[in-house]
Amino acid sequence: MGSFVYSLKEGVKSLRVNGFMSFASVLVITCCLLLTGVSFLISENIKFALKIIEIQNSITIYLKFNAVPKDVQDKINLISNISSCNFYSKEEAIKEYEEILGKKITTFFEDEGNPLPDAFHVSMANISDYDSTILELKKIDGVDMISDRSETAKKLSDIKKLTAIISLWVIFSFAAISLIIVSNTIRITVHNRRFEINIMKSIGATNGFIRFPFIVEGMIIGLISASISIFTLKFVYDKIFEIINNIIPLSIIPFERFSNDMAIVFAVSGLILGIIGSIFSIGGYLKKEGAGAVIWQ
Amino acid sequence: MIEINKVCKIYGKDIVALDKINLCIKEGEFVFIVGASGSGKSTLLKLVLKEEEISSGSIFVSGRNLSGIKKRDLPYYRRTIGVVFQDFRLIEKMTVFENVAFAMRVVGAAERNIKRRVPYVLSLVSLEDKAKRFPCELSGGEKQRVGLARAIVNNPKVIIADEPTGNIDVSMSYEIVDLLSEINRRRTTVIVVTHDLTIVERFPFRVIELSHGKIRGDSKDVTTLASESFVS
Ligand SMILES: Nc1ncnc2c1ncn2[C@@H]1O[C@H](COP(=O)(O)OP(=O)(O)OP(=O)(O)O)[C@@H](O)[C@H]1O
Ligand SMILES: [Mg+2]
Repeated sequence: MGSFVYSLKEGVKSLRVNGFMSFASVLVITCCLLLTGVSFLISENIKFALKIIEIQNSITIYLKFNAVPKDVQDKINLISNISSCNFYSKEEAIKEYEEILGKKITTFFEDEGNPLPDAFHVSMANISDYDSTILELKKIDGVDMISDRSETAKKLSDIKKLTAIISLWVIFSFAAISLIIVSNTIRITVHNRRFEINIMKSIGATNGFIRFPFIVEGMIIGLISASISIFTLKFVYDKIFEIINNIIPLSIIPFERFSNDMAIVFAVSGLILGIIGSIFSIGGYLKKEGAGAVIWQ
Repeated sequence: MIEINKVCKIYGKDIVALDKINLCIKEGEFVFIVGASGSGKSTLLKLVLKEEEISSGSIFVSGRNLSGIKKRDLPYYRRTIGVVFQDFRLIEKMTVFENVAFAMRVVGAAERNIKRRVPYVLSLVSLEDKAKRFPCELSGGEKQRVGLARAIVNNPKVIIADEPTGNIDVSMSYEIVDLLSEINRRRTTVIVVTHDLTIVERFPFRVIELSHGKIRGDSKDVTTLASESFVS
């Protein structure tokens, strides 16, 4: 217990002593986490858009508000190329939105009622007769519009792939830079305290005991970075959310949906970066013995 | 207790620091090691601490072959030996109490035991009233007494001191060696490297003289030593 408290104190102390380098480490890890977060948020929102399109996949036939679903369904089934026709009520539609958004949205429509139309999901037996079948469907009384978003879906999934690739590279290189900077910070601490380390060794301290304060230092750097980046991200995302949500409601996922998972992932990756950085920098030093480790007089 | 058999230590390619040394130190013995500068005294101690590897031969401490100690077990071996340095090697930013307590922390002692043991050990070296001082506020002799307290706090079987009196004045030096012989009276083996002949003459202990990496004399009687070799 005593040695644990000692390690904590030492870790915090050397953070202060190393002022500038600690600051640099925090900055770089924060950048790394922010970029990760941004690309994650972008790809999640694209996934969300894709999901919406998938819900409306194949062909969705939206009905006019005054149409009687049963009548329309009978007429759709008369078309020979239609293989299946499922009713998709506006209540179901709103429920799916809610699931993705992770919160109730009924209050949103309190005065207007459900703004979504009833619809049918229709699939065709023969895709080559696609255009003529669409024409026939359009002629049916009560059909408002027919959506086929396969083009948009393709574009979005291309964007998704691209962001995944780009963000992977960006994150990878920033993680590497973080490691280098953190381990340099700790290396300075190790150098500043080499005499102390050698005293510790000569009185029988295990490598674990010697290493622990440095790991604590790395952990603190990681945790500070994690908290800075999660709060920055939340602040910025909320602003963007407000703007986009005002233009196209329900088109963007609220931050609360991610905040818990993200906080955990950020804290863990911050910790890992910090710990690995410190192990890198002290590992080699601890292997040395005697005159190889430090020259006394 | 400590058996040194045909030990050679060669630094780099051709610096022969120790040349086929044979030496046996019994449990509870007090031994001075003397010799000219560069004769290999510190090297011998470093080998016993396993801070340097021997080039050939073998060293046994308490029946244990040092070559057989794995790196991972080295800290645990070192805990059985208390070390006192010429330059004290106290941690400047820690108080006297903390410096001594630190040696106990390193070996994982409970805080409760530290609180009990450290004041006792400080009283053995008459520093109980300086526990809250920092090393820079102490005289050389006092610093070395802290070093001594730190070396004995974990009850080692052996104390190794490399020129413990090298940086302090004469009267203080006697005091340090007095304390070491006091520790020795409690059956702790003590090995002291020194340049200082007057100290060696003052105490009735075994004296081993090194010269160019070889043992040149080993006697209870200082006057038989070829003392001209270490007028340095
Ligand atoms: N790390 C080292 N690398 C190379 N040579 C070394 C090293 N340490 C000691 N030596 C050499 O080994 C020889 C013995 O050195 P050692 O330090 O054991 O002498 P010493 O008897 O302790 O001397 P002093 O009384 O000055 O402390 C010397 O010639 C020294 O230059
Ligand atoms: Mg020496």
